[in-house]
Amino acid sequence: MDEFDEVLKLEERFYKEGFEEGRRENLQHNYIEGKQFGLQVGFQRFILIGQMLGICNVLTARYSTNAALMKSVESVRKLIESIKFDNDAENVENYEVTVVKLKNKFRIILLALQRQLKGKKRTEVMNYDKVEEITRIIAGEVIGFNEDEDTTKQFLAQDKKTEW
Amino acid sequence: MKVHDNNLDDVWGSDNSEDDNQHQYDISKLKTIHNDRGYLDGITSSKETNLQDGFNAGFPNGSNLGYRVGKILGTLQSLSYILNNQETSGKESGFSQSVRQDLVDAQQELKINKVLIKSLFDNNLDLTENSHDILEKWESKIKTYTKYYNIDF
Repeated sequence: MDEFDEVLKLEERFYKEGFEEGRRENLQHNYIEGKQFGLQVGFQRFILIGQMLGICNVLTARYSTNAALMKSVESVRKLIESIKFDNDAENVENYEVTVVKLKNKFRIILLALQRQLKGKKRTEVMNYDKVEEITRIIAGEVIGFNEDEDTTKQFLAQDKKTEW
Repeated sequence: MKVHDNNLDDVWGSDNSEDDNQHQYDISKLKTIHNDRGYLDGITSSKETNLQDGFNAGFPNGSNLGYRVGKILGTLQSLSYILNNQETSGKESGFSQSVRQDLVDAQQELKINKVLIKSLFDNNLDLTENSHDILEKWESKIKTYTKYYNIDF
């Protein structure tokens, strides 16, 4: 082997070493970036679910004798229990369907609560919008995800990114 | 082949191998040039690979934190509403005031950008020692009410 081949081989080896290092760093960087994004989206998607359960727990403690209300509360509880916390495709699909049902049932629960409090001094009304108002406050100002469109769609339909 | 000869000279120095230092220097220069070239190609090689894996790994932890925050707020919001819309006396009057204030404070302190803060997570974006100070503070705060009213939490 002449010196020229020797040099070419060396160049190739050095290039490959560099490439491997760059690739490893890139993959680690991507992983962390994805994880940060996943934490945010997961957080944002489950605030409302937690709020609903918290409210149901209070209602159960206060109005256990209101049979109609308790029936709705129980069905909401069952729906919440059926939700999985991960991002598997079928679980995300189930989440979407279940959240729609939950929202509908929850509006009914809050109307029943207002009837329950009828005649009491009323300074404010806690309706469904008031619940979602808090969801929005907690989920924060959302900025559009600044990667290209396809990357965003690859994750989930309603992704949002906040600074942290 | 004049050009190649020049290149070789640049890399190897003279073939008399009388100058090992120069030789080492040239190898290291060659290494730097081609390492850097490879590194640059490597770091841009797979723009999206691993993003989804990372996302899936972070999602359940985020869900769990969001859920816990939601539970605190749902409990406070409904309890505040109920207590402030009925006649209260004694201990309950105090509660109706403090729950209302807690609801205001919690909406500030449990915002996403206060819960998902880097200082509570390690380099791998996992919670340090699996604990979250701010959330735990609120969860124990809530217990004052949930114990008194026998509310599940």
